[in-house]
Amino acid sequence: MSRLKDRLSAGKFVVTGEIGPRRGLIWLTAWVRQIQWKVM
Amino acid sequence: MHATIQKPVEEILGYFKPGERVFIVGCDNCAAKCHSGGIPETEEMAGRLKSRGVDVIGWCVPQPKGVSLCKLANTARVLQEEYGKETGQADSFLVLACGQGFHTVMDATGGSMVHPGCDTIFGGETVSDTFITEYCSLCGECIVEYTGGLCPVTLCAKSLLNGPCGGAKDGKCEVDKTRDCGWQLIYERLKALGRLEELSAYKEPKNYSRWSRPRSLTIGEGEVTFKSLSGEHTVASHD
Amino acid sequence: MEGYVTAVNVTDLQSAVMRVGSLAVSARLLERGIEPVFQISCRDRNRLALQSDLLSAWAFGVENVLCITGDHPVLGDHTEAKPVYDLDSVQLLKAADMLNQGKDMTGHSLESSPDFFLGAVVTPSADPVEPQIIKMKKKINAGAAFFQTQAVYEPDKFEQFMNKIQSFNVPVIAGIVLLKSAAMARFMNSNVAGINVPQTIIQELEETSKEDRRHKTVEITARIIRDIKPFCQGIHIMPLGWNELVPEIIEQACLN
Repeated sequence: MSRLKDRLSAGKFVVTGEIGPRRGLIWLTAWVRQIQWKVM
Repeated sequence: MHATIQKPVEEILGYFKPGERVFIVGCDNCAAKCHSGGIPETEEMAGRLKSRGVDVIGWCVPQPKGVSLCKLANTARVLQEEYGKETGQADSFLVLACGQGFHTVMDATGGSMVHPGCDTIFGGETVSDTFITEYCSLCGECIVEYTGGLCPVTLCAKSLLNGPCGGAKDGKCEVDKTRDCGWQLIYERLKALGRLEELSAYKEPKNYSRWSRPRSLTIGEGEVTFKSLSGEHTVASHD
Repeated sequence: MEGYVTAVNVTDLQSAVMRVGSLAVSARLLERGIEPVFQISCRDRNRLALQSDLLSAWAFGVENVLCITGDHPVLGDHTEAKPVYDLDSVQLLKAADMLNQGKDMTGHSLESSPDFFLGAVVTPSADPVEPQIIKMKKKINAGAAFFQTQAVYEPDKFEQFMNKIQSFNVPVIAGIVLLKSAAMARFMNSNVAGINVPQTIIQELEETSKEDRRHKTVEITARIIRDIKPFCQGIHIMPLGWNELVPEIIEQACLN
């Protein structure tokens, strides 16, 4: 089960983030690294 | 009515080969209302093309008054009989009317070369002599019974069927700040009619096969048949 | 720095500008152990492609899906593109819910069915809000199991909204966009639908020197989060590039 579903179903408060993909895939790797802070 | 707007004269000039003899045809119904192909505009176009060196051998706006160019029998009679002498010498026709009227001239002249003098832009309501606007998209599956008579397919920029997106601001659409949000109009109208409960019902996706082209209507004895990619659909006009 | 958010939304050609797709980025996030919320909009795909992309997402292991209408193409960089909108967001939710039940829109059975956690969006500060609430209810009936909202800056108005939808009994994750400057706040007020940054906040930003601005952004965001937290089930932070401020916001808002 998704963690989001799991937590919401259990009545736990959640925090979600957001990323907007850019034009080229070249951005992707650096940028996924950049958002590591978001991992629960 | 079919709204039309004339193409720029420079674009029209580019259609003609040197020495091509052109006969111009307007329409006394919709194109006349749009000032794109009534009697004054058709006569004017003849003069504008002549002054630019085009061999215009004649022009007409088929009568009786107010008749549509897209009535094939009338258009054929006018072009072949009343103007038979001029049209017989024409190498081509320039049509100042909608795309249906355009094709009618092809049919009425035995498949002659026909040039489009207008862009056909929408089907609309003639709100006044100076304003024509669109309330119907000719989708083939009318749902306005449930939307207070206002068509979301036409009035909503995204043709949404189940209510507004989040893009409206101060009642205006996200695509244009001067344009009303179609769903805001529908909401206000249903509220005024005391029928707001209509908004709560789920609306199924449209059947786009009824919006396939080309579609046709065949008129029979006491019944008519609509043909599209959704199949043949016959309706009787009596019990 | 880890341990702050449960999932990360991946936007689908946001602002109708051509970019890498949300499905590919969602899949890449999963590879890294980050749970995505795959956003799928009605703008660019007909019902065949929407259902197919949902199954593709499931094939990659994507579970959270946010079904949205999508900004109109004229707002983006390909203004002459054909807008699709074959389905609207309610119909898309229903189609996704049917996939969950093992059938496609035509009723044909799938060989195996996905188990998406389906989300939708709502704009609490829309005026009038009633059409939004009616549509929200339709989205729930169609299969939406959670909601994310347009950015919220007015806690009392948000509380009123949440009171109105209390009977819906569905989790609502309140959105918040980081305010970088007074100019940005004003721009959003006049150009972004459903966003209303109060004058007091704009003034606060205005009176802040450039060096203190990031600090102020954190303070304001954390304050709003603390104020709205009692009325909702989660917070959705849209950092618009200021990702590094998020941990501090979360700490100040007492979310961890």
